[in-house]
Amino acid sequence: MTPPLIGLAGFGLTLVLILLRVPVAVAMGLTGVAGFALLNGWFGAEFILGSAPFESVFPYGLSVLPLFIAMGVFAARAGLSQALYGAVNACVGHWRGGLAMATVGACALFGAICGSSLATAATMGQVALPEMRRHGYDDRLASAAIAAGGTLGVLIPPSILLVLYGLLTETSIGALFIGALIPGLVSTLLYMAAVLVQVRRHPELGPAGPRFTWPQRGRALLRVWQVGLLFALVIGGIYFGLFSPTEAAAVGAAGAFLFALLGRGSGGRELLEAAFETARTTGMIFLILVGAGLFNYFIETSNLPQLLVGWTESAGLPVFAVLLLVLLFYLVLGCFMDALSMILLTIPFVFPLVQSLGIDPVWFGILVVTVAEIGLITPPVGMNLFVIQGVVPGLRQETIVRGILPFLLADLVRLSLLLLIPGLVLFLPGQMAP
Amino acid sequence: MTRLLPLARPLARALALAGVVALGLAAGVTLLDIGLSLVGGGIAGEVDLVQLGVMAAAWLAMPLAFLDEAHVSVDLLSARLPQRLGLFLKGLGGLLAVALMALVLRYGWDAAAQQLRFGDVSQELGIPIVWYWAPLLAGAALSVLAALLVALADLTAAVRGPAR
Repeated sequence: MTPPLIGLAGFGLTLVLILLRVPVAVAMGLTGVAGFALLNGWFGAEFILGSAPFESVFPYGLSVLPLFIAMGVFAARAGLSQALYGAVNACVGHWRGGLAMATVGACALFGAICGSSLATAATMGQVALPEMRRHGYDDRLASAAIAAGGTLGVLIPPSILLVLYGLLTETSIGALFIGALIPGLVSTLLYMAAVLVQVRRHPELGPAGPRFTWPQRGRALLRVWQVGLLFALVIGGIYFGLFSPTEAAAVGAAGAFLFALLGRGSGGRELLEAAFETARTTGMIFLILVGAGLFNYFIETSNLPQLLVGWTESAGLPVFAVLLLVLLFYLVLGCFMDALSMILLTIPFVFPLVQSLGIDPVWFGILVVTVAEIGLITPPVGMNLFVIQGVVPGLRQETIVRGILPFLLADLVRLSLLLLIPGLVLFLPGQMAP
Repeated sequence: MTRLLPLARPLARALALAGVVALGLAAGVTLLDIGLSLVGGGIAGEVDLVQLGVMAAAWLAMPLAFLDEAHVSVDLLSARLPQRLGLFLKGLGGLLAVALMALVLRYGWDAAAQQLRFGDVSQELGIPIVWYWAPLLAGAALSVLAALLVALADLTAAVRGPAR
């Protein structure tokens, strides 16, 4: 068996272990160690076991991860999600389907201070679903709007996935964040359009809510000043070159902590729970990084990436066709794996191929995260579908799945737009302060 | 042994909290550095301190993530199996987690001991590198225990049937 074939078999074995419910980080880590030992002997495996767990956590650039996690968790505990929902609802809630659109809009704004899709979906689910049910919304539309809107948290910066992609591929995290702004806006509008189309055809899905007066709207909008301030400091700071990503993350985490500390109803117990939630997510992500670190050692020495590059060159396929194939691969894989693991597992051998084809790494990063987002709402392993089901006892998954189809179509439209017009991603990074 | 689970949780939570405090200190150092840079100053060794804080936050959080089963796994197949078989698979996955963390602990210990012998220190402040290893080794050791307790609980439930 040649080393690249051992690499391919290792990838397959990892997928099998994951399907057998072995934690993703453990499956990647153990396969990495076993494969590396097979290729380089046990002495080599001892070396990577002594170095990868340290090196996967030690780099200074990784400090943005726990800080952005803390920012999202404390922002959720500060009650900012309620204020956001209230503000967007005050503006569009009186339209037919307006509450569902308000949910999508609030998810997008919450995504601007929280880098996790699951946290966005869970937080907004608790706020928005009872409200939509109270106004007679059909569960299909209500739950799907939250599940789809939640995916915006992973694209709209700051995004944990983009940070990981940036670190793995040595692509500027600032450029990735700024590059995701227009795609995030486009996806928000497309999701809102998906709601609009549905309620046009079936008005009973989302009846119009009460109309707010202009002074009420003004007051509701003023209540979200904290979100505006955090977003301006974090993303504005990066865009104008005032902060490095780590500094921006520290500012964001400290700001969200202060808002949670001073916010109504957030006592010591709430803050303690937020600290534990931060710890759990941090521990989970860093163990995946350790597993990916071990797996990467194996994949690199197997020469699998070079083999893929060679195959592609000899096949003589146009760059766009290869890109489509790669994205199709991610779409399929996304149906069975969570986004984070999928990216960490595949980037080591997919990115060299992308580089060899001269594809812009920022554009590719946004495309990959977009596809990963689609995976979050695609059955059978759409994580957001499970999150909404967990937040709302008694809600059947079939109900959410039936409602999600229009949003999936919106996602495919967005993916096509991003593929056909790379400027949607690359324009803003090109204007960034050096 | 599964009765140890409730006893292990307070320890794991205390450790995780210590990690979050370390992360808070790292954020504080970064903010102070930003503030001082506005008046032309800065904190010497800011990078070293932030790295130490993040090592503590990441590794001290891992035992709690194991105990609370926060690590990502896919139950696409096991959810469709009979409950006891699903629990058995989950327990086996847990045992593999024990194996990985034990390997990390075993060879991490060797690497840390080697760096201690060589007297390796951080670049800016000269902090002994073994300080960075301390949370890793503590986190890995307790993760072995935490993963083992959860795996044994799952395997016990698979054999006896889940507790009602």
